[in-house]
Amino acid sequence: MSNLPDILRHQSSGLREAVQQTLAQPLTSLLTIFSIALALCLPGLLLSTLEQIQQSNISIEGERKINVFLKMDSADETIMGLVNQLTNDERIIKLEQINPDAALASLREKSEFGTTLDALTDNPLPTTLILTAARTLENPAIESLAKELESYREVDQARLDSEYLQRIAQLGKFMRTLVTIVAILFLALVCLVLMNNARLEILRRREEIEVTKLVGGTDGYIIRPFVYQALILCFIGSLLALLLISLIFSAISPALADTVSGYQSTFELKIGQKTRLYLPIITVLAAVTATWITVKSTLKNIYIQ
Amino acid sequence: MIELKHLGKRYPGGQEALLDINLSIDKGEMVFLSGHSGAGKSTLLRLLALIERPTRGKISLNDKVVSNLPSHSIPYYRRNIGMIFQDHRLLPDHTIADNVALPLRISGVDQSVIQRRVDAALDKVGLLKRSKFMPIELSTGQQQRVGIARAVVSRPSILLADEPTGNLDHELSLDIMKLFQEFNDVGVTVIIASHDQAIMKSFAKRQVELKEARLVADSAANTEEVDV
Repeated sequence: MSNLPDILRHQSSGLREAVQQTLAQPLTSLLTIFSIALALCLPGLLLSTLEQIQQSNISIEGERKINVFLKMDSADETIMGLVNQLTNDERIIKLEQINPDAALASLREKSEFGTTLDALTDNPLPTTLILTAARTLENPAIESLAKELESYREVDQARLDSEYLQRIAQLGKFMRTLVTIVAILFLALVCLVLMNNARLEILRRREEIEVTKLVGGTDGYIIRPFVYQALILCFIGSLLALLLISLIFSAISPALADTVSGYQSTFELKIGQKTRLYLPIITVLAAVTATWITVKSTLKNIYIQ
Repeated sequence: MIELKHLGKRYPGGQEALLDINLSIDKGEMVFLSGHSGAGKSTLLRLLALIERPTRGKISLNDKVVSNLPSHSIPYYRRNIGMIFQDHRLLPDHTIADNVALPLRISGVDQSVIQRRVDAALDKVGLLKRSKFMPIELSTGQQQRVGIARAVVSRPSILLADEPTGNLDHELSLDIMKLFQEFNDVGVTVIIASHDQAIMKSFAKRQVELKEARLVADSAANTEEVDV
């Protein structure tokens, strides 16, 4: 039964050998690291962009509107007071008041119900306030503002452009699914590169592995350096991928800034925290698992038990 | 004590490599396995090292059956056995010292202990001054000595040698055999497969003869066509 010092000694021995193997073939190691980095670039770019979109305030002004329908019996003074209050609210950057008469006239003009509307004795339309929320507000804050407005005594209903929110949510879901699929495909590519490397390396070092087995080497002893090497290559590869993504973002940022300025947005591309954290961790875990499975199964083909 | 009972090995193609071998080897004994090429000497050694499994019978070591050990226990079993091969099986891109150190590294022995024991093993085979050499820089006889140093460095209780002098001239073969004799003198059980009658006669040790996969003579039993 191995105790902790034994386990640590075996692990450090495996790590040392992995470093030696990596340095012994510098060109092969570099090519593998670059392959991993390039393969991780696309999913990393997409993941980071998605993350930035989710965190950003990118949107157009017209899509941040709340329609506030006031109660029919609201007095002009009350409406004036509310308008003043909302105008001073920092969360609202624009307020447009539509009086019932103006709304009815507009409806008569734009619809085919002119005759029907003429038959009405009273104007059924309420005073409506169209508010534009500040760009700094995220969707949950806009929803919360709408609820707050509904709680006012003179407000009958405050309605968000829910269709827009739904569209954004659907687009976000689609983007997440797309990024996940792309990430899985490219992660699989990285795993395949490493699995193939490990398999070829075992075949190259077949004699050494046979001798190791003959003098009492366990599968664990043989597998450890391969797994550590995959860990080292993937870790460096994913750091290089993050560096490349950063460079790509720097290169396209000026063009992007010009584009989004038309939407009065401050959106900028940078590597998100999740990308920075998950890209190396998931890559390393996947690579280590794939390498372990490959080496273990390839060792079965080596005749010596 | 090593005990083989009704040991047999049949390969998937149907070829019988060993048939009904019954043999006892005492602790600290030195035994020559003789016989023509294809008689089953190497197969017997491979079975003893559990490189292959017997298809019939069993192998016991110190009254414990080892022929059915689970695969994950075999490496630990082999650490008690030193193996020497006709083709040495040295790692060409490792120094002599690194080759000899391999069994100790595998067992997780401290580096300081490894250094001391590798030096002692190389000194024993007369190659201490060449510890930094690569195998290709040594002669065949010297390479075989490195193989022996690697086999004894972890102080095994059993040494298995498969035609260790197969590629050597008579003088060098005698030197190698003397090394085995020295290890045997300190209590190591030594089993050597060889077809070199002259060498075997130079050492008055037990000789077990195999012929066509069967054990046909054992000098300890002083019989031929033994059937224990």
